[in-house]
Parts: sequence; C-alpha cells; structure tokens
Amino acid sequence: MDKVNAQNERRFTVPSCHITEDESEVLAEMEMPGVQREGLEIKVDGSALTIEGKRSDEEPKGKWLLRERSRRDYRKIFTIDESIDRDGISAELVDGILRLRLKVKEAAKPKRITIG
Amino acid sequence: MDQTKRERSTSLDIWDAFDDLRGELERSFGSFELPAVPGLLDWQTGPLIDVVEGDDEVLVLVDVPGVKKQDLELSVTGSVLSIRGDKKQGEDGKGRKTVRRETWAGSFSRTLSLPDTVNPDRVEALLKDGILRVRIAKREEARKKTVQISVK
Repeated sequence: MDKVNAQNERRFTVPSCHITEDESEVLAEMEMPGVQREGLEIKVDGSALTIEGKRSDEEPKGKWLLRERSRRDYRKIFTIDESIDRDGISAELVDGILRLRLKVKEAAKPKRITIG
Repeated sequence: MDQTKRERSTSLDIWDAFDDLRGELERSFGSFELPAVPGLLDWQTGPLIDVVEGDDEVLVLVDVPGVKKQDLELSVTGSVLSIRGDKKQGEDGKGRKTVRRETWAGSFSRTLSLPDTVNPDRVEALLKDGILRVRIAKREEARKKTVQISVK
C-alpha cells in the first residue's frame, strides 16, 4: 500500500555544486563521491540539463556505528537558457568530482567595440 | 489526505512503528529531503563518515571528493583513528566569477573512537572515486568464532 509505494519511489541526493563562469563558458563542479564513468548519465532536453549518477559501491555488511553518508544516487537538474550552446557541453569525472563545461554561444558573448 | 484508517500492524517491531510515523509525516508535510540549496544550519564543513563493524574488520568510509592522496593523513593510536586532510578549491575557480558555491574547502580533521577490538597494526587505506576506505582488522581473539562441540 502506501508503504510499498514509498519504497518503490526512487530518491536522490542533490550533489553540492560550485558554479563559476567567464565570458566564454560556465563551469559546474559537482561532488559525487562513489560515482564512476559508467554510472553517469547527462542529458539535455530543451532547457533542462539533467545529471544522474549511480553509486558503484555496494552497501557494507555489519553493524553501523556511525552513518552520515547518503547512499542514494545523485540527481541534479539545471535549467539552461538560450545562450548555452547545446552541442558544446563537455564533462569529465575525476576523484568523485564531475566537471561540466557549458560553452556560451558566440552570439551571446559580449562584443568588444573598438573606437575608430 | 488519505481519510481511510490504516490497519494496525500486528508486528511489535519498533522500527515498523518508526516507518509508519515517517510515512504519516511524509504524507502530511512532504518528504524528508535535504533542501536542494544548503542553508545556514546544514552547511557542511567536514567530510561525512560511515563506520561499519563487520565480523573480521571495522570499515570506515569517508566522502572526500577531489582530495588527493598526498593531502590526506591517517593515524591510528590504540583504537582511535584520526583523519586529517586538506580539501582544495577547484583550480578552475580561480580568476572567474563564482555564480554559486555549495561545496566546502579547507583543512579538516576528524577523530573516531573505534571499538577496542581493532588491531592498530593491521590497517589498510584506499582512495577511489572520491571515497576513502579504511579497513582496520579486528584482533584474532575478538572475531566471532564458531566452535563445534561434540556431544558425548
């Protein structure tokens, strides 16, 4: 009944993000310890950029003496605007940190005007 | 909200009672998720740790995303494990405009008191995918043993 439904529903942890930008790109660094390349899924659907990361480590057996870490998979959904080039998104995963680079479209970059 | 009464569980397990309570609260107030954006009270300043005691060893799991091996220092004194480290801010963050920052950086130190059955001479540590795993073996005499007793 209610209990069964609550268990079937997948719950996620929202990874902590550090987002920086300059004129040409936006860099989002997300902390996803326990996720390997194979467990990572990044997709763009319209203005929604979804990042999902499955944990690769299995639950240890025994008596829990301290439990602070989350065992849930990660999910983060960003809303990206038109200035982001959909084909210019690149990602790398190093030591549990996902670095996502979003290129800004040429047309959206600030133009320098030289005074003649 | 659900108006029908739920059947009382026949089990006397206290955890079932907690599950029921949690279910009631979740239906009334929404789920117990941590907020998507960390606020003042849940701002994290150190790594999160799990400690699991198995039959033969004690396993310590520490979330240290982005921390390099050389920036971690571990020591065991008796049954006390200390973990020190330095979590650096991503290099790419320098000279750029920060839009949002939820991650923490800086040095940290955690001291854990483990069960006194651990053997401080047999410790193994492995850093992989941003998780530090420390396995500390239990002393032989502390392990669970099954002794066959023959009935005469």
